[in-house]
Amino acid sequence: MAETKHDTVFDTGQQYLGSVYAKALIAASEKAGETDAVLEGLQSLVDDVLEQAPGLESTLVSPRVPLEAKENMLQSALGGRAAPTLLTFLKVLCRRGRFDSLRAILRATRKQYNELRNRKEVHVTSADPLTAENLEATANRLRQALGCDVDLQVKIVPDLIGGLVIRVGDTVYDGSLANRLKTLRNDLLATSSQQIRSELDRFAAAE
Amino acid sequence: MKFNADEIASVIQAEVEQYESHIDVREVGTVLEVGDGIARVHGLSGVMATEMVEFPNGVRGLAFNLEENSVGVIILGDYLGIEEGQEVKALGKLLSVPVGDAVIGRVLDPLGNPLDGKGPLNSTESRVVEVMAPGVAEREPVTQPLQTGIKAIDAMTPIGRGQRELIIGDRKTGKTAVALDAIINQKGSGVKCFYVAVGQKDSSVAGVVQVLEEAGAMEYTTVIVSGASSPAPLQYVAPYAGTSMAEHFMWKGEHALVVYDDLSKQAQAYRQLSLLMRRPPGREAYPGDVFYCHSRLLERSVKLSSELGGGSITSLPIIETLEGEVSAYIPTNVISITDGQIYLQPDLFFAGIRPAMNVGISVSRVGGAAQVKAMKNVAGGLRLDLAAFRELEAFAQLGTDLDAATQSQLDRGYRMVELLKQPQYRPLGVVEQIMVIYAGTKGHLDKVPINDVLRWETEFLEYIRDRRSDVWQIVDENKDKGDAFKSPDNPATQAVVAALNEFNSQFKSGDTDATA
Repeated sequence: MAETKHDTVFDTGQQYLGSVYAKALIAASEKAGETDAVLEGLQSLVDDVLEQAPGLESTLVSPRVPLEAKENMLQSALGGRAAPTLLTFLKVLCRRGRFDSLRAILRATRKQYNELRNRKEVHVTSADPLTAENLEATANRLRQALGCDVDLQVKIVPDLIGGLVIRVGDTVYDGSLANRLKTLRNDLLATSSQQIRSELDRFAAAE
Repeated sequence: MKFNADEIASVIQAEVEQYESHIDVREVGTVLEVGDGIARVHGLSGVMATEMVEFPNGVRGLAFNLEENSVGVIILGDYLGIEEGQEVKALGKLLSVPVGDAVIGRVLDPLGNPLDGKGPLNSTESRVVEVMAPGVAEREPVTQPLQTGIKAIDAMTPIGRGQRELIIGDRKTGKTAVALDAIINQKGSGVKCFYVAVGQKDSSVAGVVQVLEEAGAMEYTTVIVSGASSPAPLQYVAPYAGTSMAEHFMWKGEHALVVYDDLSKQAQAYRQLSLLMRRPPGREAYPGDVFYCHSRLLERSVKLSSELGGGSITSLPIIETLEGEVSAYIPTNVISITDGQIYLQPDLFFAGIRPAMNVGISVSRVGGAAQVKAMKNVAGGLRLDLAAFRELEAFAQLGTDLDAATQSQLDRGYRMVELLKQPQYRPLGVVEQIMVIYAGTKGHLDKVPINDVLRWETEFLEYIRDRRSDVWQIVDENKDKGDAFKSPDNPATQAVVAALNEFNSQFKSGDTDATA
């Protein structure tokens, strides 16, 4: 999974598995009242730990490493720092040999949690880092427009030059300068070439 | 010629001033995998079947398979520039091609992009590629003839405007040649022609274009090419695109002729797509809906009712068989869809009978109603006579002595077979065909040696053209009358018989070089 360029799985089996574990994780953490902490911990585990140290993941996935060693590793690394439900959940994953599906589980959990809280995941891409006020204003506008709470995921892509690209589900609202320049260029090319073709004489220089 | 830069700048300035920026809203997905002309896309949750999508490099695709977690897209163009993870945009439109007078005389790819280097296509109109065929109420029976200019076909398997006549045969039996003759013969008749080349060698297509150009047929013909090297999706789409271009003229009340060369290659392209999309294979590994693939294409060949302008599309689909195997999957499918077939056989071809049409199993199920009346009267018994001759010929090979009647029947049969031979790219007008076939069936050729029959034909037609154009006129005036050539005292019959007798009296047999 780590080598693919998109954040979706092609493996429908794993996707289904992820949604089953996610359901269990949300139910357990809701009961303990620490869903936000669990989700944040899981996200940071993937982003900050596993992405930085790929060796750790292969150790946890490998069937040749004994179960106790894995559990001890998790206990010593996360014990006291991560939410108790998360730690237990990770141990369950190791015991069931499903640690390889961790990313699918994270995605599914996010999705289900947003549905539970009536929130929508919104990806905002901007050219420059957004200030806190900007971010708040964007979130407010989106809440009004969508009629539900939003879970903003911000990404910085300098190629956009300016403006914002907002993606809700599969729909993209593109207000970026790069896109506007592109459409302007296409329109210009189309109309000018059509005018040149239809009234060539107008453009001919007197010799 | 020099361009005035200021004028161009002013156009651009006006455009920039008018430019209104608005937020671009689009439905997107992400490429999961790509290869062999297809892509699997995640997202695009609102996309509809056969909706067009666009990849970042400008290549278009069609949503082909809508699955639970992904969308299978067929890529209409170069798929090598597409990568995993790229954003795919749904365009909310169906695939359409440019249509109108601008496409006539051009060589285009299935998306309407010019391939002939004659500049861009100045077309303002376009038409959706996949259209439902007109329904029952919008149609009319096929009654107008479409002359192919080939004696054997116009006499025995006549084709009407709005008919689908299959041309089937092994490789190298002259299938394309028959279709090309039919196109060349449409000169001056106002019929627009479309030659759709699917999976052909680009060299053969170049040859076809050259032949059409030399015959002056490109003035009313469009060639749609997706060669053997173009990706399977384009080969699959090409026949539908060609039909759309033809439909434009049909709905304007004009007539069109479409040649699909050939549909077996299109079926193979469709099989490739379907297997890559993991649709379950059926007989000969073709998908279950390969019949529908052809039936919905050929149903679009229609004779419209006169309220709708009375336009028509006649189609000549071509199917290549392997070793004469007409009971293979695709040939049986297309035979059952079309209104008749012209069966070309290699043994006839190599015996010098060209066009190598097997008269016995070639039929036209619309036929008679759409035949020129005079031709119907002249050639009515020809099929049966030839069938009887075939039987006799086989019997005569046993070397038994034959009575005079049988011998004369045999002799006439040999002459008829000879008379139905026709060189390539030399279509004959209907009046000439009527006169020649009348001469053959009524025994005016019985005294001409078999070797001289073809020379007799050329010289007789020359004679009519140069000296007896009055006979030509009479036949032309009478050709649509029901009683023409029915009785010996019919004016057309009398004129032709008189001309034949006159010509035969001065025809010198034996001049033909036997080696020629």
